[in-house]
Amino acid sequence: MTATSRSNIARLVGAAWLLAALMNWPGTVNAASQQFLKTEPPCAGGPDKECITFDGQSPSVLTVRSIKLDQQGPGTGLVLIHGSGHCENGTAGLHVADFDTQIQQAGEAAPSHNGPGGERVGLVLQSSLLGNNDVFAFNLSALRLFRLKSGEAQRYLYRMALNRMDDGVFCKLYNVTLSVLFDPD
Amino acid sequence: MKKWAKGFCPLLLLFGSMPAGLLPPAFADPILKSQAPCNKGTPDVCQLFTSAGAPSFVVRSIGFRAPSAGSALVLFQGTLYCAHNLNGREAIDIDTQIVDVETAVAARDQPGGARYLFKLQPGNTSATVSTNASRVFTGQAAGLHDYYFAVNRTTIDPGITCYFYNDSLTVAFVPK
Repeated sequence: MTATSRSNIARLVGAAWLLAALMNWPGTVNAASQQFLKTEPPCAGGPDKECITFDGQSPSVLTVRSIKLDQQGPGTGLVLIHGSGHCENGTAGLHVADFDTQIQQAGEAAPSHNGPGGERVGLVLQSSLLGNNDVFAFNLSALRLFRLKSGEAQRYLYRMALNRMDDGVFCKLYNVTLSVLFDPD
Repeated sequence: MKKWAKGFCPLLLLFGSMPAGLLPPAFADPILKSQAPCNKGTPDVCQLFTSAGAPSFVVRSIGFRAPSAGSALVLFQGTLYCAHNLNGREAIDIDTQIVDVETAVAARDQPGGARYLFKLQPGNTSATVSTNASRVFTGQAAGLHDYYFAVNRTTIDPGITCYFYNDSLTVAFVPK
């Protein structure tokens, strides 16, 4: 084989390898071969720059945020939720706000504080005093690990299940941002 | 030439013919950096504030030297405790945010931001909330980066004293 034909073959194989890499074929270099971080912008569309307001009239299960992880190689995704909130009672008498939150993937049952990445917020709010409402703040930080199979895309959700929301009580959530740290096998 | 050596020839030709940027890279491991808890006060609080202080301030900061371009996941860990002993119901309303500019004013609607609004009952009462937070900084260049946990209080009624406890920042850096 001459030097020229060897060089041509090398160029041909190199071009094929580059094409395969661009098409994300297995065995080629792509984003899934290393760790990476993905996040989303904060959620702040409300008049008070809140992400969401809910009360006793809201649906019993709410999907607050979601983030999609494109097709990856096999590995582990650490999903984090960041945010805060408060509940307020503007009426006379003690009133309750009680809800579960959970980081989930698409297709899971209703969120639960007993599940991985789950939490519970339970508040008994005092009576309003001459228009001075009772308010209590809470933090939403949580994390959960997920396994990803080879070539699997996944959507992660931050969901809530309202256990009890008394009349006159409403809650607001702020920022509520999901982030994912992907770690390939 | 031995048989096994002949087998490497096509690989040598393949990678030898490609620009260096297209070669499979040797990926660097992620780097973690944290700091000791902040217990500088008496009692052992990290930071105390009342209505008398500046409305915008930094609770903690951490410096991190990135060895290459990449992304940083910055985590904040701590709690906030507020108390008073007055006959009225009093309010605290603060925004917090993980920022990379020391003078930035914390905003609840910006990345790594949050809001904590609560009211203390009349009498000798108090309330506690976790202030844990996280933020991803993408497109970080190689070199030194400083990250801060900033607070902006929009309301703190007179008579209330608030305390930040522990307050540690951690950086998980993922090279590009």
